[in-house]
Amino acid sequence: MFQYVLRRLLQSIPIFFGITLFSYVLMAAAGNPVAQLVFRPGVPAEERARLEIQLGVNDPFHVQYLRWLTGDDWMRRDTDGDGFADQCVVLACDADGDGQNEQPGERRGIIRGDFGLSFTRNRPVSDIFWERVPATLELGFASLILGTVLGISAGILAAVTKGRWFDNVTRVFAVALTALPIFWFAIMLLLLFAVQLRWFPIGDRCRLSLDDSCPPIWERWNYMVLPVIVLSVGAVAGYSRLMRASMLDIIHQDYIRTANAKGLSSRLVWFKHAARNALIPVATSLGPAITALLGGAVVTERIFNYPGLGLTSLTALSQRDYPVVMAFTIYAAIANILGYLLSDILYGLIDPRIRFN
Amino acid sequence: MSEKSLTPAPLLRVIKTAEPAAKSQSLTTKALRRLRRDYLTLVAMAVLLVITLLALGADVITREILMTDPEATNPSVRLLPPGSPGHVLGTDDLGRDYAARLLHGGRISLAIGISGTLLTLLIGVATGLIAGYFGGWIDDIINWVVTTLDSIPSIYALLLLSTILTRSPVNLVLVIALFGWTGGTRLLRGQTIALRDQEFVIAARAMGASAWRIMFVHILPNTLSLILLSLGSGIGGLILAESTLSFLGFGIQPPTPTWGNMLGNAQQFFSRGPHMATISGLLIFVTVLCLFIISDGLRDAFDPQSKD
Amino acid sequence: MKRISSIFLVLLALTAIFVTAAAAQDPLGPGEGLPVVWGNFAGDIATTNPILVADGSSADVVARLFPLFIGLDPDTGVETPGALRSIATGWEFNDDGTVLTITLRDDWAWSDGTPITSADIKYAYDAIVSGEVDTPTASFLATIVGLEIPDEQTVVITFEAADCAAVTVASNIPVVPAHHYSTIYPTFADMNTENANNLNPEVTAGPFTFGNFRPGEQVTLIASETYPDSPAGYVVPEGFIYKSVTDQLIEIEQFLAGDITLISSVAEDRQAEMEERAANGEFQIHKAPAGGWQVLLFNMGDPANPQPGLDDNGERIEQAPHPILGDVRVRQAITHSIDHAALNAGAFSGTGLPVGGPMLPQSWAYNEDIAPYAYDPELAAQLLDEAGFVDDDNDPATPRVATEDALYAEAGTTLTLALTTFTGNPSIDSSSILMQDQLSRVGFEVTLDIIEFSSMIDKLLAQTYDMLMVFWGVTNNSPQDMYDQLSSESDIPGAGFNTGSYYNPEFETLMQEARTLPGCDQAERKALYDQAQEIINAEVPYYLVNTSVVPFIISNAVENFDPRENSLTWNLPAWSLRP
Repeated sequence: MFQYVLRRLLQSIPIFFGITLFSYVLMAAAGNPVAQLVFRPGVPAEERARLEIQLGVNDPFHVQYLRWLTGDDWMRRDTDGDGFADQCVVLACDADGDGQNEQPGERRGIIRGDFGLSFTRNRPVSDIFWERVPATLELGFASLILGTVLGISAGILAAVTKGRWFDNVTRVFAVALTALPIFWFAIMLLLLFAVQLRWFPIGDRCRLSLDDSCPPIWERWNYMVLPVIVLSVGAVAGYSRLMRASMLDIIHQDYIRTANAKGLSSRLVWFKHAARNALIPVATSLGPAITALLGGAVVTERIFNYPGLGLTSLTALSQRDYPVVMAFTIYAAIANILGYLLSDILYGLIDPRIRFN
Repeated sequence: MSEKSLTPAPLLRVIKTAEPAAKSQSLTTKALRRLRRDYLTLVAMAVLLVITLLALGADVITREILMTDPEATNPSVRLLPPGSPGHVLGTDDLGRDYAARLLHGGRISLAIGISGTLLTLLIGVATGLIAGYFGGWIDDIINWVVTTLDSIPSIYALLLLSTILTRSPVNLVLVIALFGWTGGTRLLRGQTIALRDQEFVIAARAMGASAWRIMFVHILPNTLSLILLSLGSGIGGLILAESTLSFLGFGIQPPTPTWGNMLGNAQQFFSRGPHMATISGLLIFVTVLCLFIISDGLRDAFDPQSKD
Repeated sequence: MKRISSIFLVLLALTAIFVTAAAAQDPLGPGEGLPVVWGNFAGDIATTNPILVADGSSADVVARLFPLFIGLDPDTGVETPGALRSIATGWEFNDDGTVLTITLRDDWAWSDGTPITSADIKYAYDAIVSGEVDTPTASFLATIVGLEIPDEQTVVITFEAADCAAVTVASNIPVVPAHHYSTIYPTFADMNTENANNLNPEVTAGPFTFGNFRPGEQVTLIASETYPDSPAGYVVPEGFIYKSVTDQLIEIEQFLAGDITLISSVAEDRQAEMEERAANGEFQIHKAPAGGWQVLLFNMGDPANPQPGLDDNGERIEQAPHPILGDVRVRQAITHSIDHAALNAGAFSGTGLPVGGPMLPQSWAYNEDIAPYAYDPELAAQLLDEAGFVDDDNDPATPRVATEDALYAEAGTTLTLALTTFTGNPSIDSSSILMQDQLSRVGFEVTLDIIEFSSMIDKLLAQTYDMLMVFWGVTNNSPQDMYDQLSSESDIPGAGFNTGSYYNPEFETLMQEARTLPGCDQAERKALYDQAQEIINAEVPYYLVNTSVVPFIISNAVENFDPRENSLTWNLPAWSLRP
């Protein structure tokens, strides 16, 4: 088991590099961020040039990638302590050619968790990232739990009542919900339950307060209800369909027939034997479910003004704040890799036929 | 277990339709018989057919019946409700005939959905066949690309790319294909692995057939039903994705109408022009619903395990 | 229906009772009012250090935390000695107009008790011009050659030349707590990285002190007990909450629910409804002219080969004209093809106004005699005919084609232009679609290129566009903006703001004269600016499409809301929201 996890983690390394390379290529293709930073009348060309050198946006692509990936603290080092770099590899010590060496590199690169400074907020990207994580995590977890519990139970019940009204209603709903444009559904919920009926707050994560207090989650659950519903719709629909299908798949199999033939009560057969085995494909879809949640967070947080990762990355995207967008993409990708890993482990735990060797 | 350790678990779910092409004749007959009794799917097919025909005839209908131009603006008659004289479904915020725009928008939305799905499948099928048939390092590389792409939430990638590219339908299709093909690869790869050691493939190989011939003549036809089944949900998914992009402000650029950007635009007029959001939203919903129902219906009908 | 209207009547009566009752109550004491909650669309603040401010959110918050060097009069919008929240009490020029001596008040201290002095100005100036700090302000101070502080209440600024806008230039220098900053930032360059200090200011002197910053949610400020400039004598609201919102729907509903105190933009969809509800007394609406325009820029230089206006020695570089837009008649034809009334109905929700002269009407330098361009498609067609662009096939659906008579275009060139603009703004979207349609009726073929904002800026600065539509905000009512946008010295591909490569030496001379006029007599300067505006109006280097009246909606709970022509929030510290 341990060896298996270790091997899977090792196999994730090339994937991680693939992700960094890919997102970096995308980001680089998006062009030069300096233009927007200095979109003010009268900014002289020298100011722009200085900023460009400072941000290193004119370096060759592979240098920029390497710097971003591994940092520049080893590229420009200050050995004599005068505040300027004197030992330089890859990068020139005096990049702008003014006769004065540049300051030593301070970035540690994304492989050491340093995503640099945000272009627009002038703060470390990792600060911005981590302060937004809790909001997305609380929504994500709540939705995942709601989605799996509701979806799996609906799926089992539908399979048990195959052909009867509950089954039909569940099936219709499962398809109909996935066929709705999700942002449309979210806006309708907001307009109806928050604006019209005033059952829930109109967006946001906490109440306003002059002091810096956001109450614990159980005191502000009402803020989470609508976004969680929206975010879990896909999971409920998907899981109920998947669970129903795999339940029906299982009951045709021999061992269930045997169990039935042995005279075991049908409830026991359904829930102990069939449900347990039917959970296998459900467990394996945990990875994709996490991907879907992270994607859904963009739309949901945007509509409900929920200050999480999705909302921030959307803002960063429209401001072409590359470091922020890249950090978010890469962290999301890591979450996905871990999600898939978790899926596989669950797969093995539930299905005794699988051995991790 | 080496297979397993390389790839995430869903890849292992080999679908059990591995049988030579000849046998699928009777399967098709049976499936058609089942379909004839599946009224829900039949209704969905009829509705979709009507929507498709309307979209195809957009030009003629607009010119001959509605007698208007989907691009002609006239702010003095803006936000008219449905049923207004000369405008069956009312007008939008710039006074353009809503019915005409829906017809033209439908044509583009459907075209995006269909061509995006086809292109996606094309890449996916090719890579899946190659990876599954050859295995080894080719498989490893394709797998690496697939897993990498799958790990990046596609909405980030889509949003990112739409900031770079002109937001035209063609570019959107290309971007969708760039990120969407991995599903097809996974599907085909599993199938190919299952089929490549079957007797009829071994026989073909013994008779000196080239690898490409085996892949495209012997293996591919046996996976066709599976590929076709994923068309419906693929098209529906893309129509939804296009509308989400539009909502976030990264959809097809105006004045080209699509259902997605019409719905995205309509959210600014909830109170003064509610017909816009209602009609375009409903059209997307109904179309996607039909596609999903058909997709489900076909899957049930073609499932060799299901009972008559 | 009857029931609803009777409910309204009851509500009206209740409001009336409430208002009269409130008026009779005693005024609230210091910090006794509810906090003012302000919706913020512009994203998180980047800094609270006035020297570093480069974005709207940070500027909004800094304006509540720090004094100004030189303040504006809320009625006229002109720099005025002794204006509220400012420390300059008077200024004078020397004889040749190059040295400006400013005196400061001595009755105001930072929150830690240290008096505010000229050293605080000197420190900020030194930091900005040091080149070590990432600040946009440096370019605004480029004409200053020296700043001295002979004593604690005097600042002496030397300019490179006499400048009638010298006070405006000086007003860009922020006031910062030098004694505090010099300890938390060992060097100026440390400001760029010391985020802990930049986002948690300990020493301030505005109407509020810093409370907390919850990213993505809110910045809160607490009423200052020592602020001397509140019209009420003390700061009435307990605090100020700068609340993040991302969606107009959310903002307006939160306002209606009472969570937000005021909103400064209303989506078109809700405008009529809000007017009606305001008329019913549910809240107060104040309308103010926008400080800028939606503008259609023309590229008069060849977009295939952008050249700077001047070479390194300041000599004029002749550059190839735009084949179509290089001809002034084509530009005029465009202005006459566009129907502002239709744009106003379709894109500006009826709040738009056509623009006359190229300065804000509220500016003293505005030329009242310039009328907006008339919508006249026949005149446009005639101008195009004269310019050598004709409808050769008599099919209005196809674009016009250049004949041998065209000034710059080769014969056979179709009248095709790209209109570049940016995504995400409904009025930009709608007006560009309407313009495309309107121009096509006269024989233009316009292709829309609606791209992401920063890509558009790239294209704008690179001078590779044909026509480009943006919003222009105008700072400080300063006529100088017009010079920056149209002079050959700011025609620098990739950096300058004369992106259309406009060149008119007479215009440049007039603008320079007006700026450096000895004695700076306003009437004489205005005469010069009037002439410059007439040139611009005749030569159409850009077309000011629209300006708007912006509604400012504020809750009835606010007492003492006193909007003035140039500032709606000048007395915010005196606003009273009863608990």
